[in-house]
Amino acid sequence: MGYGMLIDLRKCSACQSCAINCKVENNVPVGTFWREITMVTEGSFPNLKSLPVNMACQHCDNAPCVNVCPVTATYKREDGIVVQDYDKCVGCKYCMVACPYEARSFNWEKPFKDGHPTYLNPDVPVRPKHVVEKCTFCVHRADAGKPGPACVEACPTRALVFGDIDDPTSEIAKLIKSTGATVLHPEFGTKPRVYFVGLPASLGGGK
Amino acid sequence: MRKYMTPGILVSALLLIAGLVAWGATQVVGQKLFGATNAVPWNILLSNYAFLALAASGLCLTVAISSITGNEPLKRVAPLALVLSIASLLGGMMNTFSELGNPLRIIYVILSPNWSSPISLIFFVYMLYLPLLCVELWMLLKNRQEYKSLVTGLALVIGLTAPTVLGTIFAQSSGRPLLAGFAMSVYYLLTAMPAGLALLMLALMLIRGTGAESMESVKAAGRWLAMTLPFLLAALIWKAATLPAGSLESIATFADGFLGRSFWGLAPAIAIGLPFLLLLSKYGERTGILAASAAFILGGSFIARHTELIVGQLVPASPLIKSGSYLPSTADVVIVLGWLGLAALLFQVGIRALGLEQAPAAGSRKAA
Repeated sequence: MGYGMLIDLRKCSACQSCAINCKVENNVPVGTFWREITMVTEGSFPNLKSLPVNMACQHCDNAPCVNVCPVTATYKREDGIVVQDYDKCVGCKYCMVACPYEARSFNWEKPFKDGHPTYLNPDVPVRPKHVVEKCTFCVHRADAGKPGPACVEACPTRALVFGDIDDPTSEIAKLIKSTGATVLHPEFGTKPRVYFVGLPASLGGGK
Repeated sequence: MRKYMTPGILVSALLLIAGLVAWGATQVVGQKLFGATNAVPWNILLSNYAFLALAASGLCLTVAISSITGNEPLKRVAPLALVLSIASLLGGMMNTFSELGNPLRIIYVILSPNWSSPISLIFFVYMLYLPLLCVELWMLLKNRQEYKSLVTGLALVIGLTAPTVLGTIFAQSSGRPLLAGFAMSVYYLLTAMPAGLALLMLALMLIRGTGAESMESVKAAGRWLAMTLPFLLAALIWKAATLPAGSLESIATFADGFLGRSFWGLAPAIAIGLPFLLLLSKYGERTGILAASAAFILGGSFIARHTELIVGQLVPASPLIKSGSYLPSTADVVIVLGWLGLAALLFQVGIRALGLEQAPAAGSRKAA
């Protein structure tokens, strides 16, 4: 059993629904994004192509952030999700420097300084200042038996698929196999659990 | 008490107080007062930590090697060098401590250590290192010979281990070719000795003056310095040569501007090239040349630590990564000055408390 995600960039319309739903679901502070759409330009003038790439924590099996955290505040669960213990995080930012995907954010000040606004999701803790936070694959939803992360739920084109990638009979495992999906920058050796379809060659995709 | 009322001690104390106030502000208001960002999360405090910690290791190694090789001019200043090493190490450690968002949670390094993390390892190395330096100093001051070889041997091992593990902290940064790779550990190891020797030379001239007694030790340190600089240059070349294919060009492009030029040109020229030429010249043993060489090495080392750490945090390999920038904020600068002040204060108070501000009299030298 190991959760993973498949992102079909060919279907992505860059509508940012996933990024916004993620922020709302996870009480992500102002100015911080756990999930972002980054536009990558490929080719040379005049044959240019702009491609939206959906970026967040890659929940790597060989996660550099887990390896370097001096206090084991960042750890990998048995279901493959990399999570952060906010009560233990010493705020050394080593995980941020170690992560080659820059998927982690530091709370440089207290988030939601106006107290605990009513629009916040009560199922997710508001992280304090001086801790590192990142995408959790909506671990609270997984633990509550909900079907998948908020970003997957929000995607209007079904470009995002979530599931057990270690089970060869699962929908996501079959899709990864049939589409020839690849991971982001495999040369980093981090063994990500997020796969992409249509990834440009400069990011690790096929030609 | 009057012997502690010197301008140097007062200035150091004022710097320390200013640094403590600025650190307190970052803890209350938040580290948004730092100039760091999510793209460049480590700031000048980390580079100042590396600068001071490497100099401390260099001093520790100088004491150990001078004891093993029987270099009398350097053996004579071993107690002063150890006080300087302890002061630099404590000043350096405070830099990294104040960079932590939740410094008190450092206790979790003991409660739930991660042995694959170099920060955990360096924490335990320092837990051995600092007491060992204190024991070594006590033995030198009391002229205790019982376990001298054992303590010197241990100091040599720890003095070699600390900069190596420090280099490993940065070497485990995936996707950052300037920092990643084992060459970083070797580079830091070979940086330690020149930094320590340069600091010792300046400290000796400032504290004990430029009389014949003091200059004999300074010249001996200068000769060692001239020997260690080619090794440092070789390590830098090795570091550049072992960068992954294509990354040299991408880093140069990515780190355009002052930091890029500083990393590739300014820092090696000031920290290695210029002092090496000065020390090898026929005027190499003149007081002014020795002082200038030491000052160049220290200044160049500070610039080198800063630029390699700031530029090194950038990920040049991916078009996905946003380019980062970093300019030290007022809080950054004041805190750094505060911990430099702490190191200077500890050193000046330490040598006065132990009666090391003057060279030992000829009779006591023979006894030692």
